[in-house]
Amino acid sequence: MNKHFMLLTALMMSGSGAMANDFHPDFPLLDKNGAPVIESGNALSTMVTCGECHDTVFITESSDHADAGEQQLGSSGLRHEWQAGPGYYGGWNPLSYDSAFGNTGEIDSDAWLKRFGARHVGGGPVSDRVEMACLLCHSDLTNQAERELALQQGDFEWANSAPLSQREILHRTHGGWQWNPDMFQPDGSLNPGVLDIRKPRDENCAQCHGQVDNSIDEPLTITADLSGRSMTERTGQIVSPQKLLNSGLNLANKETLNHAFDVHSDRVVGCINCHYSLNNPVYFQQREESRPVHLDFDPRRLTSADYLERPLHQFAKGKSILGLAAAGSENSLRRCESCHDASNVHDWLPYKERHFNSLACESCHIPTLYGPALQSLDWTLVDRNGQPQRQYRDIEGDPSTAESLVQGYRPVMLARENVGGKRKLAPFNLVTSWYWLTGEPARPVSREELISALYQGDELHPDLLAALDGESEDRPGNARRRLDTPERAEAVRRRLEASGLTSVQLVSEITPFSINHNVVNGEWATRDCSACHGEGSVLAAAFTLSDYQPGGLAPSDGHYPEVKLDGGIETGKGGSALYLPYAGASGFYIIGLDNVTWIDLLGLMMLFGVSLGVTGHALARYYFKRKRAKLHPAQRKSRRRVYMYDSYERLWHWLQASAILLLLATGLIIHKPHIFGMFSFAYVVQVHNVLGFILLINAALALFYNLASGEIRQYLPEPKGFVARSMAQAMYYSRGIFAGEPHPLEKTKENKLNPLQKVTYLAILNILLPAQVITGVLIWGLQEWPDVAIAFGGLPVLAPIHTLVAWAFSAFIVMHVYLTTAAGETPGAGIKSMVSGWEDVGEHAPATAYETSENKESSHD
Amino acid sequence: MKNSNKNWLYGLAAIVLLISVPVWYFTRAEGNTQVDHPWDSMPRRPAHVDHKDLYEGLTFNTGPEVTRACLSCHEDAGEQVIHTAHWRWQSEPVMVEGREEPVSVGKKNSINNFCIGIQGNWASCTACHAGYGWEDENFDFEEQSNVDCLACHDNSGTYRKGKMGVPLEGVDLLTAAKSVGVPTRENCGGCHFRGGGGDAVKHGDLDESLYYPSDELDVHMGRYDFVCVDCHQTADHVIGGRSISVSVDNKNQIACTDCHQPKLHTDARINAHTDTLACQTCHIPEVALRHATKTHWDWSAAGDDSREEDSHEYLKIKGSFIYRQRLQPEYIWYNGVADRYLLGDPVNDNGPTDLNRPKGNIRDPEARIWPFKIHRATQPYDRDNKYLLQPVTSGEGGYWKDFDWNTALQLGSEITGMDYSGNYGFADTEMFWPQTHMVAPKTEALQCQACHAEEGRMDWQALGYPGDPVRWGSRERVRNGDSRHKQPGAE
Repeated sequence: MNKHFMLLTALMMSGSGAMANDFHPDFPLLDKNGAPVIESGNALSTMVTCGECHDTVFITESSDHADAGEQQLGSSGLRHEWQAGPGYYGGWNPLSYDSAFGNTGEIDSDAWLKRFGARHVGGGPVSDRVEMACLLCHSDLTNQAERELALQQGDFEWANSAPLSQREILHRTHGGWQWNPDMFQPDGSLNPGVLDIRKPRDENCAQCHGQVDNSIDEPLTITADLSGRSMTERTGQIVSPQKLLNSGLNLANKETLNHAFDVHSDRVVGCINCHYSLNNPVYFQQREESRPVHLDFDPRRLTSADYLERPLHQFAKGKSILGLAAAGSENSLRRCESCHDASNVHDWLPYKERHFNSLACESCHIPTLYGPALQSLDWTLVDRNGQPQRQYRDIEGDPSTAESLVQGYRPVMLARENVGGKRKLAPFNLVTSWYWLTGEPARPVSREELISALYQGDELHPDLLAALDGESEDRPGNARRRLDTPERAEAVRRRLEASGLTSVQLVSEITPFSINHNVVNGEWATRDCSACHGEGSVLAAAFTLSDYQPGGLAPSDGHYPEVKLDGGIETGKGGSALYLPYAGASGFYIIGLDNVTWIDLLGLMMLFGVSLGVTGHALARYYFKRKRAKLHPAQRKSRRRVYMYDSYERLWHWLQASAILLLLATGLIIHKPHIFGMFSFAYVVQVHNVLGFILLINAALALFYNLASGEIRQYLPEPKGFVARSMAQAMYYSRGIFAGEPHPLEKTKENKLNPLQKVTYLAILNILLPAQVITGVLIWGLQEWPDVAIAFGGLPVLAPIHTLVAWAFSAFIVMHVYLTTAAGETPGAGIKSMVSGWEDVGEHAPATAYETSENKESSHD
Repeated sequence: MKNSNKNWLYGLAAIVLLISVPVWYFTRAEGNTQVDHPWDSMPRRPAHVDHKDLYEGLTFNTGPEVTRACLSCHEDAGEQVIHTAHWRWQSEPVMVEGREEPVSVGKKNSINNFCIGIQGNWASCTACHAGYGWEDENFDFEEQSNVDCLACHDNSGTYRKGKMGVPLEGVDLLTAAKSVGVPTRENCGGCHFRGGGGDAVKHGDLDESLYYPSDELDVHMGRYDFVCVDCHQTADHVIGGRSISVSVDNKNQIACTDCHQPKLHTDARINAHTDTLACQTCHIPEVALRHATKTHWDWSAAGDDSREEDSHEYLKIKGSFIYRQRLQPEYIWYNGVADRYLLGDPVNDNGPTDLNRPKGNIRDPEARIWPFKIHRATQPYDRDNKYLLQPVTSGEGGYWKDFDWNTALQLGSEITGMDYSGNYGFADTEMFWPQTHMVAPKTEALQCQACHAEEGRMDWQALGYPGDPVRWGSRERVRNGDSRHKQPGAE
């Protein structure tokens, strides 16, 4: 009866657990002679074993991972003169630092394998020593410690077999290896279930590329040794579906971070779903440029069998700095928009297309990174083990321990050159390195040279102790010594030269790493306009390069063509080095952030000048009026009501006035959003656009009205006597008005404007308004027809003009409103007449002027 | 002039309209995410009348005396209660698919795979009956004074019932009567958290940890301090809610969507899931979070003197058990109703007999994938007649006393009126418990990987999919052959 129970229990337990790929057939493990290893006792040959069915020669030859830049050895344009090639094999970068050159100047393959082999799949440049390790990527053995050990020991032949010892398939014996017959079937293949052969999973890729953790139940932690986690160390990217708040990281504000490290990982999109084999018929898509225009889809495709026999081992990839230098497959990766239709879900975003054209998707969708990202690497004073001083971004304490509080850092936005040469702002991490060069031609001082020059036994060389310790007393605890002054760096330099090195010099270099993983969905993306539009813009925020500058040497641009470091490098508090991004250098003008200072100053001066003048004038009028009132009390003029403005004139005037005032107000908010934080930037922008069109339509209708009614004539100055009348008007404003003289213009319905008004309005209507409307419409048009605006210089030209004219309008309004008080018989008469249409006109003019026909004609000639 | 004074107002209005209407029109928010106002559905209760001073001159020696006092004011209450399931433990006759006659089932006459059934074991089982004195088949279901008002309305926390539902010795009925109010968690939990004879045994998602739950245990009861009757809203003493362990129909059921909008997720992909998944599937990732629940019960192992006793592993009177804490539910299509094993139905020759298998499958548009606790048991049946048997367990001749299955089954069969051949055996049975309580906060809801990873928690092929629908297509494809033009949400 208990049998039931055991069965039930067994059934229950079998629910989870690794599901083997039962599609891949069993196969004998063969040595390089084609004999089963269990019989020959020799090392496994992947080329022969897997080559029974798969074309391993084709695979090796097509593999970027195997080639690792060998094909490009000796190519020109290398970043450092001591590099042999651009890729992993023969390349050099300040992060891994070491090189593997022998005395002859040739790469020493043995030395390279021992130092770099663990992160190389085999084959390619070292195919004579280590074959491609198929199992590294295609099995469930994802712990490569045994392979790494074998490589370090120079046991190249057994390196690819070594990891099988984890499954008891193989045992390490004295001086060799022994296959375990218990794990084999008679035909030389492994017992079923011992080893799962499968497509690469994320954990396979993770062995070399970064922190990847697909478990959602085990809290994620960071491994202390990041050397094999390049993507994480370089940028802080962690690929995991786990929610940040469920992770094992000590994150600031953790409880609010209810999203996965990476939304693609969360949505079960694995590494190979994007980085697929380029001839995988499931993903293969002919490039547009190599496809006849009439053909969307070419149905003549590889069969699955073709593909399985000869799968290209070039994988879809973007363009990486310090990568494999796989020129052939560069930028073969689909871009975000190949899978996503962003236009459907960004309707909330004003100027959607404009944003899409200026920003990489990652800019908003990778707002913060939480992994330990390198900030700087200081090789000037390595420790006894040859390790540099590493600083990580926004982590308080040692990144590998749980006590360290991780703040997360916001990447810096740099103009990145995309496929097709278009520059878009995209997120980056900048890693700054300092290291010593020596010799002629220059090369980096090797780790070994550094250790032997700087240390005597376990202690620093006495010469250095004297130079460094004197100054280091203020340094608490056992914090490491830093060469944070030129004097200290000089002491080390002298020591290096004393050890026999020549022409020792300190150099620095900034390496930019683009950030493309750790994407968050719209809910968590940057949606707040003020993140970019305003004073606190991330597009201009200082980005720390290093907490100190070894030897006082400022970081220098590594000059990577893909990325422009247009901004400035400055020294910040406590000797830190800061990068101050400036997108303007790449042709970006960010509304709310960028402005032309002299325009704003000029505008303010105009506004204040006019206001000041108007105030003085008003005070003077008031003073003289009181004086006159004392002299000639209560001298009442006879007045007459005249219907001055008909209803449409009044409507369009006030509509235009309201629109302009609101446009100025919203425009000011858009220009300086950080001062008006209570307003939603996006909303104000939309309101501004709508108001602009109200103004435009209103102006067009008014123009039509004035043309059709002939009223337009009122705006045209009469050349005859124009100067004299203008002078009279000017004299009135500067003298007569104070003396209480009558207005020189006999204002009638047909002749409302004085000559100065006519000139002013002509200027406004023919220069300011069109300039404002045209620049405004062009800026508005950036979202639908950007090319038109760009033809006029784009935002960097249009926006300052628009701003300048806006200032002019504001100054005009002050003047205009003030002068209404001078237009009528009483200060309020002008405004009142524009409200009611009726104006009290003084009787100083011929009593019948309004009604007489000759008067009408006189105003027309 | 008066006229023009008005005109400027019209002008002002025109300008305001000319500006504000276009601004409104061109900036109005567009969005189709449904707005959730769950609090609008919550009952708002006036303060309960304090009954403290209402029993002047009365003394209560028995439960029915309290009931009569209650009914003297609440005149309709007795009549209401005696028609409810809480009183009758049996439904009105319902037509059930696949059966000729309407069936009337409930705890009163059905069989389960825990303590098997109440027939013959009334006194013990009816300790949880909302009435007094149900000791055999002759209980009078029309006698209103036997209704136990205090079981549900005592707010003093001092009221306890024993065998036949009679108040235990020492219970101060007057104190209890003075305290009456809206049912608390304790009133409901006293029976429902202890279903199956003890804390956490039966349901998986209901246990005594819900008396004082944390946010993570149950977001409604923990974070928002719900009581049972906030969701199980009651009219005329008919309490909302249905359980397929006792009910065969789906009337008066409660759903998450009674309060929440079905498509309230901000993420379109997640919203698309609501056509296929019950809310509970993602929002109840695990049950029995604090207290282990029983998942297996082997009656055939009972009666062994040599085994050590442990209430979570083995008891001589009951057999052996498995309990699980943090139980991951199993996932089955469910359209809201279930089959029901009735006394006399044949057992399944091939595999376990389902006592209440949920109805629905991948082709049933009403069905959703639901989380279930499946309780698997091995229980006595008649080998010749091929049906499950009702034993007498407690009391004279019961198995728990004499450890003689033959007698216990003979006595039980006499009560149920079944023919017993004398040749008994043990059959595997399964009982299905939809999981709907212990709703986790949204931060804990299942993520894609939980089901769609290489080794996810769904058995896709058992659910009728060719494989993970992420790659193999949704059930639309299964239903219609091809999903290309019928993707959910793509119309």
